[in-house]
Amino acid sequence: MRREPYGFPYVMELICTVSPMGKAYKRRLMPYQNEKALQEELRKTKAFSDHLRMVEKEKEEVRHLLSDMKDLQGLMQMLLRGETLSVVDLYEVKLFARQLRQMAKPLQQLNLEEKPLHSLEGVELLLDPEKEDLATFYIYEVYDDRLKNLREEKRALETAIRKAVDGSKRTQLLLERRSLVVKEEEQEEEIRERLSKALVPFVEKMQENLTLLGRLDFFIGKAEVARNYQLPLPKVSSSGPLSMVEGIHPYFEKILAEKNQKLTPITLSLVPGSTAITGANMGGKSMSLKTLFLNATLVMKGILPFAKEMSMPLIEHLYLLDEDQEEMKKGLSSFGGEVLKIQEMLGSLTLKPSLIIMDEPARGTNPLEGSAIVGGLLNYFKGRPHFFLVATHYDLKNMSGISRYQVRGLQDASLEDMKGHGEKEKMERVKELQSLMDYRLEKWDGEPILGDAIRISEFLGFSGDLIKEIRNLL
Amino acid sequence: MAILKNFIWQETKVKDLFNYASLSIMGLGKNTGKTMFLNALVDLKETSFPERILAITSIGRDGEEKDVVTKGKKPRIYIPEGTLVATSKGLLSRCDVTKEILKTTGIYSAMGEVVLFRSLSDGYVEIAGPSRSGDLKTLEQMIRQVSPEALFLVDGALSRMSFSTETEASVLCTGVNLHKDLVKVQEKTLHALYCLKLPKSPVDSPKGNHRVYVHQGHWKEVEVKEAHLMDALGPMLEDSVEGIYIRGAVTESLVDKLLTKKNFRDLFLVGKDGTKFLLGEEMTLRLKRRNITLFVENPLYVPMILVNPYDLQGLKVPVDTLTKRLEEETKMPVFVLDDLGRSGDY
Repeated sequence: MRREPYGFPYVMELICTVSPMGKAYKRRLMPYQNEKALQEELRKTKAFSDHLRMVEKEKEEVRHLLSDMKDLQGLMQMLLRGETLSVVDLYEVKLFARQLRQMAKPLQQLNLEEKPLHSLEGVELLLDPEKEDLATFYIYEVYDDRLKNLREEKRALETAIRKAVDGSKRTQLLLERRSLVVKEEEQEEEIRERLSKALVPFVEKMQENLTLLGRLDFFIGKAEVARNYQLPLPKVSSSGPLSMVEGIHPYFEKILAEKNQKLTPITLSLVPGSTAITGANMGGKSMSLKTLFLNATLVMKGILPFAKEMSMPLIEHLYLLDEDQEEMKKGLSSFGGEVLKIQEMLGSLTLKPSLIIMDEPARGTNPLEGSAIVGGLLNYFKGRPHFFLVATHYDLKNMSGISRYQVRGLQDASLEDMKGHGEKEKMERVKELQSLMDYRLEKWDGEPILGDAIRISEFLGFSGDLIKEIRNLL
Repeated sequence: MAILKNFIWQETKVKDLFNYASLSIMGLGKNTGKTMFLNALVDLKETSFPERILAITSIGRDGEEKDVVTKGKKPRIYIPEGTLVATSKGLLSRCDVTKEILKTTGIYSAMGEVVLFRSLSDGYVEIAGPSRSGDLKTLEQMIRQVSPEALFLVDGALSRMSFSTETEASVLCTGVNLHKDLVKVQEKTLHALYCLKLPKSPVDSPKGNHRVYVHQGHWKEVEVKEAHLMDALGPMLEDSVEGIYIRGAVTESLVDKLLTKKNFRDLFLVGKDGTKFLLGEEMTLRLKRRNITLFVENPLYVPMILVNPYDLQGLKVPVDTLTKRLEEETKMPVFVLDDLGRSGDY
């Protein structure tokens, strides 16, 4: 049972994050539980993606600063535990506060409807006591007069060491220096301790900033994808169908584009209850299911869908059951495994709508019982609040109360015209067939269209005698 | 008088090193006095180029190395105020200068992230820079942002010398710890130098990214599927092949196999640079007999040889004959480390 759609990692990779916080945010991305919050998130994403071209320069500036930032969570924990930061750690904290200040202006121009970042002026005052505004740090003498005096003394000694020609004199001076070095280190440690304590009150703000920055990084990334692919604002409303107009699966689109092929967009609308897709083999049924599953998942996570239009209610669970190669490797009988998964899935459903998609369930059992299982599932979900979508080859003609789609398939194409091309490579023929196939779905309530499977077998090389025998049985 | 004259000449030669933007220090083996030479350079900078900023790092220190140069103690580097240092976080506490942190580089060594700091006082530092030579370029760029004119000094690991291609020039350190028999030290040094200073190939290098090419009027790539380079290269060695280009290491076992081919004669063999030729003397002789000429794509510039006369017990071994022979054979400046700069800090 897939919880993560095929191609989801690909979309996550399209969404570029440049900071460790953004990457962490992306990894932890959860579906929204609240309709209002989801609507708001989607609306903001769309609005910003439309606004992006006006603020390209500022966006790049923000992103550049983000890419230089480190995740200071570890240091924040150290501060909370009362530990003393090293001079490098203090440098990191100072740099972070400085980067935030530099980000403030371009960020404001992005005009995001986001919670503002906390200013860390207090942190900068602590770590840049002389207001030099440099991206460097050391334990400054102004922190403590004793340190100042010590360093002056040490400097004088070092000058003397430079001038010392006599070896033993030099060694003597070096030894003196050694004791001053110990004192300097003690002084510095005392100051670092003081600074670390003084930073504790800022920890909460800094942690919140880290979270906000992670979100900001991801948000810019997803708005950019939305702009590049011209993605629509989906409608999320509690009562309404789950529908997708001209949806595409970006991963398969890429794969096909590499082979100079085009993907057919899928249009599909589900009402609560059961929907079945039937139609020819090689007709792209699995692709349709995967496309809907991916886009519904994206919307639930606040990402705009790859479609022309999309609308759906808030969905509690999203499932896709298809032939699982991994399970098969484990040696589980495909039918047994399937039953267990369906059982588990049914147990998780509540009264809130879920999306359950099954790609040819019960394909591995005898057709009589298999078709009863599929029919039973369709009937089971008929009166329920969930969206149950199934692709099947089984005959459903005696069933009522379920929506049905049919892959257009080969119906309009003339295979006979193509056959004259003689002996072609097998893969060439498959490609040719794919080019003739109409992958679009159409609403359909009549008799199942038969014959595509046999036409395909014939086209791909079954002999005339064999085809004749097959046709006799139909 | 003679000694003084010699000294001035030495100092002039060493001073010339300050004309480079970057310089690496290669050691032929353990305890060849690299750090000692680094200290000498620092001293020379102070007296002769007080305005020049040094930026010091090291590469690939794996911990096995124990630089025992003098009196069995490990030397540290005593640097002047203003020096830039790139070393690992784990070694910062062993650097007793006042440190201004300039950048955390995102480059890692076995001892943690490499941090770039400016020393605000004189003092001792211990250095462990990047593990990978590829990171040296990135590090140099960061340093150039802080100080475009700095002399970038890289103290190199003994195990690999390939890092030296990342700098404009490399000095070669050798010494009495390579072998008890100084004649052997001389042979090893001369041989290493022979490889390092191989001349630039007169034929332009192939453009692609393949591991191996053969030259027949023009470069033809050799498709090497598995690790067995010879299986692919062997059949390509026709009489009309004039040369071979090998991107990776040219090892003894590879050349051994090549030598079993009758056609492997009267041609040229190009490597990426001198550090890629991992061949002993015997093997280079065999190549000469077959009239195989060795070339490199990127020649290394080695301006001088340094000899560490101290053995592991800190005993100073007379090396006059060794240095004289090296000078005669290489026509290069050869200096004994003790003659340079000060001692007594160890």
